[in-house]
Amino acid sequence: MGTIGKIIGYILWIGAGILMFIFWLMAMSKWLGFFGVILSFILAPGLVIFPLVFWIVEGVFPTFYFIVWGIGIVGLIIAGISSKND
Amino acid sequence: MDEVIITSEAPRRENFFLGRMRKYQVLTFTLGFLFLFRFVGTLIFYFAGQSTFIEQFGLSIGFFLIAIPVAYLAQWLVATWVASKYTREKLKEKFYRHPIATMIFAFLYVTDLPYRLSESDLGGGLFKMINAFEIIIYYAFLSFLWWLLICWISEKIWKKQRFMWEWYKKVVDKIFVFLPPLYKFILGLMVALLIFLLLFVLMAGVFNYSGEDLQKF
Repeated sequence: MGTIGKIIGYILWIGAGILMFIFWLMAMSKWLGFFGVILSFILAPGLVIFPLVFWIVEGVFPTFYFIVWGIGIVGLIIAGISSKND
Repeated sequence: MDEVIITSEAPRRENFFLGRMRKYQVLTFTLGFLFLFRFVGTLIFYFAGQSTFIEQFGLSIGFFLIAIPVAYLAQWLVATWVASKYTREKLKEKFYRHPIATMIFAFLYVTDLPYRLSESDLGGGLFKMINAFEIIIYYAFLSFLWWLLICWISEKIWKKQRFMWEWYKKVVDKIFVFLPPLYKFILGLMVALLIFLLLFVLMAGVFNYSGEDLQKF
């Protein structure tokens, strides 16, 4: 059972991470073009700074980013609990 | 001098359901997940005024509320009862002993499965995936029961094993190694996707998310 819990947790966590990265990649590509795409692979998104920058630049709060981040944290909690049960 | 304390208390007997749930965790989790998906999902669609199989089959909501839990409980009881009859090694021995029946059933299962899936109303998106998963599981279990019956008849007719191929044994060994983790991964993936979707919908509702940030791209 612990194995399935860990699989669920890690899929949520990794899936959320990939979605957050895609969000970051698209924002960088929009702001800086091709250079932004390359830069997004070199720089890791500052988890707190990037949404603030996005909010200031675009004038829209990045709710999607935070929702996905929250789901990632839930995944991490599930994986943690499942690891303890093993 | 050491003191020996003798107690007259008999060891506690574990509850039947809890014992089986603890012993067959993957089976319980699979059926629990499928039950919750079917039961809660249908109730949500029903109260949202959308078409469900309740109207399609002319059933009442009261019947649905009783029949679905009972049906899934019965399935769980049957599945755990069958599982209790075979250990991993015993089952492997059975596969070794009946190569012809196994190959015929595997072939029939693989060739017939697409027809079973195509004739079912699977819905769309993630629901399609979960519905297809449910059909694959049920059909596999039914095929397994038929295979057990054929093996039993075959054992009654032929007392000794007739065919034994080394390559077949290796394939069975490989399947026994790869199938359990693969199944767990697929099940985990589906549960994770459903949790993702539910959490997203829940949070989007709480924060009144309109997708404005995504429209900026």
